[in-house]
Parts: sequence; C-alpha cells; structure tokens
Amino acid sequence: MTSPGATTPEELGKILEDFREKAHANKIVLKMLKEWTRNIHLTAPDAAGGRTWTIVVDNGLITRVVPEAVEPRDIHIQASLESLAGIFRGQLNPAKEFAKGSLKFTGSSKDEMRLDAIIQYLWE
Amino acid sequence: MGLRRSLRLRTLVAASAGLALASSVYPAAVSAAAASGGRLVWAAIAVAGLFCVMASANFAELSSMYPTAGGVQVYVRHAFGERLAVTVSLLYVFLAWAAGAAEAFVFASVLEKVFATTRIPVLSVIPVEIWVLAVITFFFVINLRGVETAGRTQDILTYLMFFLVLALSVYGLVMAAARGLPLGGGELAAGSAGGAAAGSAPGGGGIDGFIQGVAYAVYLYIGFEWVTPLAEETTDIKVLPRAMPIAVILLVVSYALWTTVMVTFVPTSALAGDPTPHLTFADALAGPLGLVVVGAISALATFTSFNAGMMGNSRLVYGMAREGTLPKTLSKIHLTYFTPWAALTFMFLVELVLALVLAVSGGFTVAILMAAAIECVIYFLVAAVVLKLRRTKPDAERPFRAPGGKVLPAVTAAVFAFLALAVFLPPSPLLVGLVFLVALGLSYAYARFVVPWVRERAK
Repeated sequence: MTSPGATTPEELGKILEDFREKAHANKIVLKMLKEWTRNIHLTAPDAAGGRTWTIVVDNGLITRVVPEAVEPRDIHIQASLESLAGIFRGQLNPAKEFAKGSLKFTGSSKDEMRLDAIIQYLWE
Repeated sequence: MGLRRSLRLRTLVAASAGLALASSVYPAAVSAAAASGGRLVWAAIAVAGLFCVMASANFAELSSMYPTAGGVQVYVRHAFGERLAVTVSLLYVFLAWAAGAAEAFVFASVLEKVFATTRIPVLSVIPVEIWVLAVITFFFVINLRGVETAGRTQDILTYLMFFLVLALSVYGLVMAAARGLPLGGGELAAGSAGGAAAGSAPGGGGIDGFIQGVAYAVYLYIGFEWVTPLAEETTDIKVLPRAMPIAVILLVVSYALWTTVMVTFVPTSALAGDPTPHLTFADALAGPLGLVVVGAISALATFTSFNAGMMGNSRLVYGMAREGTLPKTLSKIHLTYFTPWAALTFMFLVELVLALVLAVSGGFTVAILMAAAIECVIYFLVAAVVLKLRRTKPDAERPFRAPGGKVLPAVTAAVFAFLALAVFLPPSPLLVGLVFLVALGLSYAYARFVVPWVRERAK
C-alpha cells in the first residue's frame, strides 16, 4: 500500500519512461549501453501485491519499459516505490540506499557497476 | 524465476579459497611452524582452520540476512551503527594493503629467484624492486581493463592449484620416507616465528608457541569470507554456507600437508625470514626443476589471489566513496571497462609504495602478521554482530542460522579476540602491534571526525 501523496505505480512507470528518453538523449550513456543486453527487474514490495517493472536493454538500447516481469531476469533491484522513483529521478543516491539496506541488488558486480555508472553520469 | 546466470557451489568454493591460495601464505606457514614446532604445525593449521569454519557459519548467517555486495560493513552497520562499520571497512583496506604488498613482494622474490636459478639472460639480473614494480603494475593494468578470472576460469585455476599442491605434498611425503627424514624435521618448537625476519630473539614454544602458531596460521585462510559479496549473484542462499567450510577444509588439508613436508626437507630455522620458503623446499626436493614447477604454481596463485584482492578492494573503496564516506573523486568509473579506475589507482599507488618499503626493509613478516591480526579482529567482530542481531532483531528472516544457538558465535568471538592478542605477543616483532594500533586509530579517527566533515562538504 502507498501512503497518500507518495509515488504511485503509474508515476513510477512514467519516471522510468523519462529515464529511458534521457538515457537515449545522452551520447555518453549510449556509449555505456553499447552491446549491452539485459532484462532489469525493478520490484517494489510496497506497491499493491509487490509489483515488478522491467527495463529491457537490447543490444545497446533501452527498447521498452514494461510494468511486468520479462524473463529471463539478469538484474533484480528491490526497493520501495519511493526509493525507486528517487533513484531513477536522480534525487536519491543508490549507493546510499544500498548501504542503508533499503535497496537490494541481485546480479553480477560488473552489471552493478555499469548501471551505477549510467545513473551517476545522468544525474550527478 | 531466478537469475539467468547464478553461481554454483563449485564456483563459490573456488572464490572462497581463491584469495588464500597465494604466494605469501608460505612464509606465514613457516612462521606457524616456527612457533608451534615443525612436528605440530599440521595441528596448528588444522585448529586455525576449525576456528575459521566456525567463523564461516557467522558470515553465512549474516549473508543470508543481508545478501549484498556490501558484506561486513552492512552487517556491522545494522548491529553497531555507521561509525564502527566505517572503521571496519577501513581496517579491511589496511588489510588489503598489507596482504597485497606482502604478496607482491613475495612473488617478486619468486621471480628473482627463479630467473637467477635458470640464468635467463637479462631477466636473471633484474633486482627484486623492479620485479615488485612490474608485478603490481601488471595487476593494476589488467584490473583497470576489467579482466576477471571469474566463473569457469577461476574454478579451473583453483582446483588445478589444489591438485598440484596436494600432488607435490604426497610426492614429498614419499621422498621423505625414502630418504628416512623425520616428518616435521623433528623440531617441536623452535619458536623463532616472524621474529627471525625482523631480527628479534627466538622465544615461545610449548602451549604458548602452539597458540601463537594457530594465530599465525589464520593468515593461511585469508579472505575466505570475501565470497559473501557474491551472495547477490546466487539464487540459492543456502549454497554459500556450504561453500566456505568446504573451501577452508580443502585449504587445511593442502597447507597442513605442504607445510609438514616443507619443514621435513628444510629446517624451520633455515626457512624463517625467507620470503620464498616454498622455492627453497622445492629446490631441496627436486632441484632446479622443482624450483621452476613451484615457481609456476606460485605465479598461478599470485595471479588469482592478487587479481581478486585488488578488484574486491577497489570496489570496497569505490562503494565507500559512492555513499559519501570517502572522497567523491574515488567513485569515478571507467566509461569503457566499467571499472572503478580512481579507486584502483589509489590502491595501486599505496600498494606499490608499501611493497617497495617491504622490499627495501625486508619486513614482509610484519605485513603478513598484521593482516592475520586484522582478520582475527574482523572474525571477532562478525561473531559479536551475530550475537547482537539475534538479540535486537530476533524475528528477522534468517534463511541460514549458525548452529549451536549462542554458543558458536560466543566461542568464535572469544577465540578470535584471544588469537588477535596472540599475534602481537613476542616473538612477533613489536612493530606488528604498533602498526596495527596506528591502522585502528586512523580508521576510527577517520570514521569519527572526517566522515561527518566529508558529508557536510558534499551537501
């Protein structure tokens, strides 16, 4: 359940779409995405029923963001709706959320580094 | 659905043993033999291994609660707050510097000795300082390019090393029997330990010497817990609690046999202070051919351990910089290789300076014993974290729970606190305790005074 005034699942969907556009508009980020193919699952356990979104990266482009789990999963990020929204809006530092224990990452450390580099480059 | 790529038991065992299969463990094994006595060194190594198996259960419980790449600093943060977590993380950085510098120096000494023996033109006259520079620069460059000995390659190299160490040990046992040599060289407690390298007087022996031998032998399992950050790359969290004890047991068997055979062929007193005792033994066992074969094993060992160590530690420094506890400059990532180049450069420069200091001073034993002491302190602290979290978060989900109720973590905490103290006592060089206190003091002072300032500045 989300509290009144907090991020809704629909809003998170829009934030992820904005993230996709912003990433594609940035030449350096496009270079970072080069030859990368991953299904990145984002799960917000606090959204009704624990909803999952998937950022589909196919051969260097974020081809789509879908409000469901697309298999197979390569990376799994679990955090509250608020944290996910903050991270993909560039308002929260994922490393700090991770250190606090409010974000869980499952996947290879190399993928973790690449994703963090993209987020750093876009927002910081 | 699980991850597309999920790590298996075989790979986790290899990753857990990877750091400990290093060239610098051989001088540490000689220190253990000198303290406990050649005939009892196998027992000192086995007892240290048993304690590490107990410690692994604590790590397994915590990594099942917090399966993150943050590892120990995340566990400590949840139990004792940020200040101690930062202190422990920085201690790990000091551990990496000490062990990394010792490893680089020992391996540089291996290269110097092998090439001097084989008399290869040019290579045979290169001094150890130049080899140190070459070794560390080589690992810096391949780390910068993100070359990993991961997955199947790491598996093959690790199990190959286990096989070679065991095969040579068995060959040594057979040869010792054929030559009528008494196992362990008949020395019950020479007690010269690390002191021989630093020029201090021999001491110890008896029960005291044995305990000190156990404390020194902790270095032989160094970094077995560094596999816990891989918890986030596995879908079955119960695999990790099995991987660590299996790795430690394989190391126990390998090192207990190897060290016993090593001191059977060459007296402990002759090996003490030698940065390459494994080559001296190989030479005594099989002449120049043996020396070249063991030199190759040493190269393999340094390749896997140094590479994994530098990579793991640069990521630790990077993570701390990202979350604001170290300067932000250290969080820069290479945009092609996705490696933390700033943190890597920082680690490279410090390790290079330290390794050159060790090469000039010959004080590599101090670095090895300090790393052993830091490991003991970390194992003590992790056991204390388990006890604290069981009290403060009794209902938290624990997919794996260390067996024996509170007894196992309590005993582990007591044992490692005691062993940490034992590392500092004579015949260990006085410098070990002093350097450790400086490292601890700096880590705490940084966490207490500098971190709030860095955070304030970042705002």
